[in-house]
Amino acid sequence: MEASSAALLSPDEFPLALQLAREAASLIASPQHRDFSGLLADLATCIARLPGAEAALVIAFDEAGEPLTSGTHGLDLPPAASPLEALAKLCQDLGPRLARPEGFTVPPEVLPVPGAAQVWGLPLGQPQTAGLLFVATTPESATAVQSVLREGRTILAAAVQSFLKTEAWSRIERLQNLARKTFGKQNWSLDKLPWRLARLFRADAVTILVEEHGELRLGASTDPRLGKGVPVVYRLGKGLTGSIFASARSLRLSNTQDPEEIWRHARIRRGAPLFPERDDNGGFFSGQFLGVPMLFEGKVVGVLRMSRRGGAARFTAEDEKALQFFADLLGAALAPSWHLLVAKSVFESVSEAIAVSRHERDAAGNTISRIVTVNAGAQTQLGLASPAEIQGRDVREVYAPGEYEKIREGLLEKMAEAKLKGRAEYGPVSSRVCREDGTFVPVRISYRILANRRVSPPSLYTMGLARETSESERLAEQHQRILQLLDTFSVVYFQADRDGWTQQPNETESRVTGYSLAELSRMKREQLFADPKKRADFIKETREHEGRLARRIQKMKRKDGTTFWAEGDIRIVRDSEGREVGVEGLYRDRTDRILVQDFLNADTDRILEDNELFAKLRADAEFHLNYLMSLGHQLQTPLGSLVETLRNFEKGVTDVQRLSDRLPYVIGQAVVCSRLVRNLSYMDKILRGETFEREPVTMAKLAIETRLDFVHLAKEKRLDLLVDDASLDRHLPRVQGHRELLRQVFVNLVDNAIKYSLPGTEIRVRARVWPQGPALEISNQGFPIREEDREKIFQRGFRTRQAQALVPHGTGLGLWLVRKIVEAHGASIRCLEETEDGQKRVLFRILFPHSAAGLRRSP
Amino acid sequence: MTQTAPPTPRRVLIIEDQIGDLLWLLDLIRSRGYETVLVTNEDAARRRLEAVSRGEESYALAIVDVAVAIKDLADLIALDDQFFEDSQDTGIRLCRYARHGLGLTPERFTLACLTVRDDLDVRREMKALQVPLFNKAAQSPAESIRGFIEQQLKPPA
Repeated sequence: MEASSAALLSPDEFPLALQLAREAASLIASPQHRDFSGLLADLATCIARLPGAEAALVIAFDEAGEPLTSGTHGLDLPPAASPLEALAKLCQDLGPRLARPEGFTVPPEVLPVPGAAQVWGLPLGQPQTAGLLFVATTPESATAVQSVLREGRTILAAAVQSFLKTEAWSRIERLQNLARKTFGKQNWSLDKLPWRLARLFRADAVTILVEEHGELRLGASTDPRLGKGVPVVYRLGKGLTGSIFASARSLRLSNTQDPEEIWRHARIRRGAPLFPERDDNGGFFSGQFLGVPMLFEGKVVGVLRMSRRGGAARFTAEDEKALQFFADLLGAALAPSWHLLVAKSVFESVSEAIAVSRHERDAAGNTISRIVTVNAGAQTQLGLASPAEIQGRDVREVYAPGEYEKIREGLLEKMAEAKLKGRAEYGPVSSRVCREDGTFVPVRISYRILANRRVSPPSLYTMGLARETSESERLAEQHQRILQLLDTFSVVYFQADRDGWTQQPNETESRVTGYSLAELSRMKREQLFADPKKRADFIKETREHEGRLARRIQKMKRKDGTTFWAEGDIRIVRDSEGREVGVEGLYRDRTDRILVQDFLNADTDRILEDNELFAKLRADAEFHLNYLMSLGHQLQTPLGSLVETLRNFEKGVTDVQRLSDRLPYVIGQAVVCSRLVRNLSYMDKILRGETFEREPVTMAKLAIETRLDFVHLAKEKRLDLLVDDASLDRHLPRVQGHRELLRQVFVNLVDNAIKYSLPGTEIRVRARVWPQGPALEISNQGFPIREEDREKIFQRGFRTRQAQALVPHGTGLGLWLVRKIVEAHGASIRCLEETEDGQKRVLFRILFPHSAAGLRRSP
Repeated sequence: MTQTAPPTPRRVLIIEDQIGDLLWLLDLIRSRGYETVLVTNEDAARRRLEAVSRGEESYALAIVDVAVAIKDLADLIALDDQFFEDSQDTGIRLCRYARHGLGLTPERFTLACLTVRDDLDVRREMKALQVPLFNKAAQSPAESIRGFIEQQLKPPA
């Protein structure tokens, strides 16, 4: 019935149909609107302009026959929560009518219209429905309008489908522009893309997820709250997004709250969404969903997903295609930036062993680095059959026990830096890695840490470039470690070439000597010796001892001129052909020890073994006790004598005359007492190494004063005490020194001379000049001192047996103290034997440096 | 042969090498009318004591320094390398020699010793030898050699 009526168009109707077709064609050819529903509204306007037509509504269907959107001219959809729901309701209410190709009358309750108009509907397109049109007409013109529309339905359907394509194409164009603008930049960012895509697709939420080590992580989202707190991680197959990731296929849902629809499309049973975007009210979006995989070289490198509130316009296959188009562009842009970077780094230097590890958190929340991949070099180095053996392994297992812990802190620090800057370098460090067979390989590893900041939070990859440590590197390292160890013990290591220039001076020596590194490298080593000539002797002696000398003591000099005693080992260095190329050695400042040994009268040319030193210390303690006793004894006699002499006078034993005879003696004895006490205080000063003020001391005057002190003692033994003050004035007028200390030198030497002289002989005090300098000489004729004792007599506590036999009470301190004082003045003392007038005499010669005695007494 | 006690000799033997310290003692002894005979080493002292034991010499008293020199300097020089005995107790050795070696008992011969050492072993030995020991240090006259001399050496009547 209706089919027959469709065949006929009256002559009036034909131009109208032609007019409609022309207008629709014009809309197809040059769409004024880019908005799909706007185009539909334009089409509706064309229809409404037909004579007798009052209003029109055009609904577009998607390829599945579901209503998509509508455009209207004066004909409103029935009220509903959303336009989409209204469309759905309309289609539902019309039911089987929709299937009538000749059109159908729409009951007023389904699509209410004002006034007397009636609404007529017509499906567009056959057999697939592209859409529906509704037209409100006056009853009288209904037939004519229906005839024209039936005639024009093909072009109307074509227009609807064309609009759909047009919109899709225009969006593709815009997406292309977006891609060009975004990826064309050097440092493009994902950040703004979700917003742009949301606008283009009229989506309410858009999120980009990026593949990262087998998981999807958040790239960017329109929802700023997403990923805050808990990082977004989708594993394969988890949730809607994870199912896209797993299947590499897009997913379009009209209602995410419909489990059946989800099951139908995604084959998953989903509970609550895993990481949903939130809307403005804090609730997560539900409704339509469109997600597409970002593919690159057949691999999913990310997922782009969007949601639209339920009831808004439906996501179409065109939407899906458009989004897929963009997702592929994005995937292509993203993938090389990361995967190629890693791959490039790995294969760039194939000769070295490279292992890439990824820093992640384990289930317990601990950070852990796992091997991602290794190159062929690493495979060889670690003795792996295939790289798969090691993938996923905790990096700590790759290192020898304890080695990873040494570098961990440094690595973590650099990881933090990489998070901020994108990359960081660490090393090279020395370490040992563990081969599969359990052996360890010493390696030098340089690390490059790359942060993938496309994902949030950035993930960190550490690339270790390991090279087997060469033998020479190992030795150099060992050398360095030993040097550090030596430094902690303040032991200096040095190397010198054949000419005595220091090679690679180090901080330890700089600290010990006071010279800067630069100064050390510019000076010959002999300058470090207190006596530069000693170095040559030292080297010569070393050569004679098979090129090695151990534990020798040398007097060295610091930059500030102070001296110190160094104990050292030295070795002649030869090249492979046995040619001498220099020396190397170790030494340390042992001044304190040498001073102690010197004080203990022990050798000062070597460091004593502990047991020797302790024996010396014990002997020293005993000596001190004995010395105190001896001192007490020596004081008793003269003091007793003084008291008893006075008592004699008091008791009338002696008269005034006799008393005045005796007084010089007792005064002399009192002087002896005070001399003894004074020796003590000088000894203390000297032993403490106290510096003392120096003044010009007139030696002749000191000699004469000493003579006066001893005149009675000398007289008692019939000794002549001759002071050649003329020679003193000529050769040794003044000495820069400490008057009282120097007086003590005279006193002790003259006292000894008196004690040990034969009666009736002479004690002579004079000055002479030797090539080395002026000398003070005190000689006497008496006890000869045997050759082997001439050095020993200056040792503390040493007394010759003859001296002990002759003067049982004695301390053995006098000469020791003399030498100490003399040396403190930069002079030296020796005991000699000389023959004068056919008589052998004992001679003490104190040799002063020229500088110490440069001052002449003014005339 | 009946022995009558010989008149006390007005001579004192002094065995001391540092006589400079004991000039006051010489003054004291001389003030009481006694001569002093000074010996400055152990060797010479032995010869004197031997002479006493043989009755060739006699002394009212012998005062011995505990640590007198062994020999005189010239003798020592001549001896050169020989081993020397301990010089610290030459005086003790002399007293021992007088009492035991020569039989100069306290009844026959009065000895007194001077020392600067107050060691217990010295004291003990001197007590056994019945030789009073005096310290050279100044002390109260009664305890010193001064008191002993005043008691032993009667001034001439």
